[in-house]
Amino acid sequence: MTRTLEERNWGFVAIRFVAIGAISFLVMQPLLWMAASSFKPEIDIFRDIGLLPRRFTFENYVRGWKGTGMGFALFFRNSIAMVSVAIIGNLISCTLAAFAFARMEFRFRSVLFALMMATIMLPQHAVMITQYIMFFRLGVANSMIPVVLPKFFATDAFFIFLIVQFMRGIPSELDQAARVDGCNSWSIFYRIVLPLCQPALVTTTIFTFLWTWNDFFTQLVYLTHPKLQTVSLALRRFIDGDALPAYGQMMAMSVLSILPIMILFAFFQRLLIEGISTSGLKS
Amino acid sequence: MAASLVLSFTDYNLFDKPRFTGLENFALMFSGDWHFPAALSVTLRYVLIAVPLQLLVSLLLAFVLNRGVPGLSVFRTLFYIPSLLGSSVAVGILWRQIFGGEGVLNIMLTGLGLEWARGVSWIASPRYALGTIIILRVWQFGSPMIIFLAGLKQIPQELLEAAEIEGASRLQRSWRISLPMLSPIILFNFVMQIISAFKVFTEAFIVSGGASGGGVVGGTLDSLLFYTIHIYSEGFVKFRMGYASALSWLLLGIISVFTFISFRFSSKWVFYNEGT
Amino acid sequence: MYRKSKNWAVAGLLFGAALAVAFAGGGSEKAGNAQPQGPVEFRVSWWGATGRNEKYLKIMEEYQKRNPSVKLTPEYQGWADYWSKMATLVAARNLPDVHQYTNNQLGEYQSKGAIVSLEPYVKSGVIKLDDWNKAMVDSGRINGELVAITIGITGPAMIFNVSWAEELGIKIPPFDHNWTWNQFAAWLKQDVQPKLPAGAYAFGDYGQAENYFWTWIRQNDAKWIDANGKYAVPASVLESWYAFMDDLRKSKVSPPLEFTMEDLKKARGENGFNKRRILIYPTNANQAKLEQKFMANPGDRVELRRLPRREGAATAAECLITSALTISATSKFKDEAAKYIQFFVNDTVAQEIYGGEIGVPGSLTVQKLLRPKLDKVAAQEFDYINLIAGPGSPPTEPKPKGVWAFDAEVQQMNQRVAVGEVTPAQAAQAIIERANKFLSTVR
Repeated sequence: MTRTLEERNWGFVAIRFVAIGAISFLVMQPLLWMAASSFKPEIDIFRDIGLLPRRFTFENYVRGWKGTGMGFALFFRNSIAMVSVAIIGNLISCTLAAFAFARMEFRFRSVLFALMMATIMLPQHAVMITQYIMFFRLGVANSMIPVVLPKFFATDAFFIFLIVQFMRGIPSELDQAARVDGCNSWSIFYRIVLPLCQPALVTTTIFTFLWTWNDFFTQLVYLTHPKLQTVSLALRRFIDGDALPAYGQMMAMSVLSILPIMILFAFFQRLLIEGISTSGLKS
Repeated sequence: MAASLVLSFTDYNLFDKPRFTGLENFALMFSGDWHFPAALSVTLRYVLIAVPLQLLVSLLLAFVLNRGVPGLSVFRTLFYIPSLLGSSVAVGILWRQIFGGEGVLNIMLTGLGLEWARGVSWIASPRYALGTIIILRVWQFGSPMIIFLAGLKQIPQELLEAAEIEGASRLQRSWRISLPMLSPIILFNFVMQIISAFKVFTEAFIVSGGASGGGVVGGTLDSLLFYTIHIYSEGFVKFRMGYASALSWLLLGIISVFTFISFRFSSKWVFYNEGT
Repeated sequence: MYRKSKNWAVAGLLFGAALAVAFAGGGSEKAGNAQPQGPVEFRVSWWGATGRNEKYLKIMEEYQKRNPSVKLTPEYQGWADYWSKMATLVAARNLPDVHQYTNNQLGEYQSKGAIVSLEPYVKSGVIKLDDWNKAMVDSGRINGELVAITIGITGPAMIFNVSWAEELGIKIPPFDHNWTWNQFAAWLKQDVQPKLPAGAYAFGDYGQAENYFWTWIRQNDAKWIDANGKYAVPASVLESWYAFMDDLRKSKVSPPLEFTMEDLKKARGENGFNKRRILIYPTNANQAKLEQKFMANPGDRVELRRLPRREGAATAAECLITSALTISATSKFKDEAAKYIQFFVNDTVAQEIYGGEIGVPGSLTVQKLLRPKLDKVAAQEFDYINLIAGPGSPPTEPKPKGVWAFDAEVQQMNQRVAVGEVTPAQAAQAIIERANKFLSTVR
């Protein structure tokens, strides 16, 4: 019985592997092409459209890295600093807000929840101008503040909602048991619910990183000073309708810009893999 | 946000003070804005097709990956990369390379003998352009997939083991246990993807050529005039910020309706593991 | 409870603040016209891509070297993003001290009071325009008042792939050929298209070339907007515009719609002109030298030719497109800004760095200076612009408010004609109707 089970398993595993492999190849096609282009000389990029460059060069990386004026070392530093602060802000404010929504009873809970959801339903462009005027009059328009400050005020309803859903998946018997043991709300939050939400927290981290990094329009409007430029702003400068574009450099720098998030992702994957030990339920 | 609500009822050209005009903007939407129907149509079709498709793919792959495959973490990362590139300028170029008249897709199709595909520009064709953006979204299934994987990990292993011992098959276990346990997450992804699909901007803007400044907004014959692109064009190009605000609030209304309906029906199939 | 009240407090605060600043009007604006004391620090902005950005930065560096007490802060984006940013900045009245426009947007922003008149600076000699081509200077005048100094003039042109034409035995007209649109169409149909290989087209679709349309308006002595603020382009002019192109498409002399729409988004080096799919391209003169660099067949030579003219007209009346520097109305350093503009457009070193990047410089001295360094196509661009900016061509007034925003509609209508959704006559009527609807909402 065991042997046949194993044989069957291997067969299925192989099928799964091949299927997934094929899908990944398909999925990766555009990216492979992008990476290949980054190693081709500028003129070749649209003439030689194969996946293997006929002429191989590093010049796109070298020249692209120098950027214009400031250079990508600065852009990466700025982008990473920006997303780091944003992540901290979100982790703090969103978990607190989520706990309130998920576990606490208060009068206008559903109204506030709806209001909170409404904030993500309004397209960015509608609020951008008035928001900019507001920050400009406060004197902080040309800085990182308008980009990261809102994160500390639980304005990313997406994560609040996500964490709420996770928290609702945690049985409230745990809470009750803890209360019996003499814990107050804060302890319940900090010691029981929060650790069990680890996947949600990891997800929050990853997505905050990604979205803040790529939130091009906000950065465009608020980050004017050359020393504040970020990677996503810099990438848009390689191509212009009017002047001579630099596709190779843009490709090269785009490839590099994926690296930080990939590293973060790879690092946090383990936390997603390990999952939660549910032995806590028993005790 | 409140300011933009008030702006919906004004005429604001970005420089002079906003001038109160009452419901004029909303009247304009239905009688004087000849792009409005296209904006609605494109966006609604996109949401109704792309979101279910994307979620289906991401859910399926989450289950498959969760079962265990050699090189699991590698695949997970690979599948996630398209989402990383989502709103970058590179995507516009990549999509042109694939779906352009002499793009990779056509090379493959004509290679397989489908001669009618020769020279067909998928991204410039009024009929197929939207399809390319739908594919773009489905290609980015990595994002919701990650969330599904996180949710699958949260399912207590004992439940699944107990069921296995009692003789439940893989399929039964998935259908009867994993899926219901996952339902809050499914709801979440569903609502979130709908909201984000309604708001899609950057990818469509770049693929339709807006970012390269050719003066073309919304693709050929408005085939890619997503609602938010229309809002952008009204507010930032035509300087009719009051009208743009009104459009935005209408969108919010539409999204709320969809969200409300989703939540309303959720009690029928979503299972929360709280205080039974 | 703690968290609940915190949420309320925050929400209330943001709500109140947002309302307050949105409607606080001009109360907090400073009068700031007098030059404040202390170090001079101002912002300069432009649109561009890598190579061009470096030129601007070098020019700024040079200026700061010579004027150590002045600190310049650059702000630059790609074309589309530049305009997104400009819209936000003009709303907040926070435009950079020195920024640029083309005469497409100039009228729009000037009507919003975004920029100041530059007449005082010319009169006082801070900005010297004595040796400048008059038509080029005038491209920055609105109602006679100079508000913008050009850093490069371009205009609509046709570019030819001369080498390919020679190979096919097609005779290209001389440089300043005097022919009408009908003669042009006939030539394309009889002498050009038959000699082209299958899948190639003689002339690209001009529907998306707004400068061609502008020229068409001029050739037909039409105005954009009449005295009552209504759209003044006659139906007949619009109809002939759409009909001409429609005829070329139907005769297969010009490509079908989808080909053109994709072509517009293509990168240099892969578009129809580069790849010998289109022989003659409607575009702006300053694009010629760029296209030349990216021709798929390296030996293909690119040359410029003028637009055809209307029956019986003396000139093709091409519009002059200027990219020009302006000074923001809210700048605290207007005098310094003017000095910077003077440096940019007239200083030898600055102009050598810039090298006619965005178009032909207005100063004849500078033109003479740059001439020897130009490659063949760029030299021809200079000749071309001087030709169309010469005496005898009517002046180009910047587009009035509302016209630029409407350009996209005119272009899109061409798409509808192309797929047969409307006839040229219907298209003309629709445009006038829509234009008036749109203009009535423009303040």
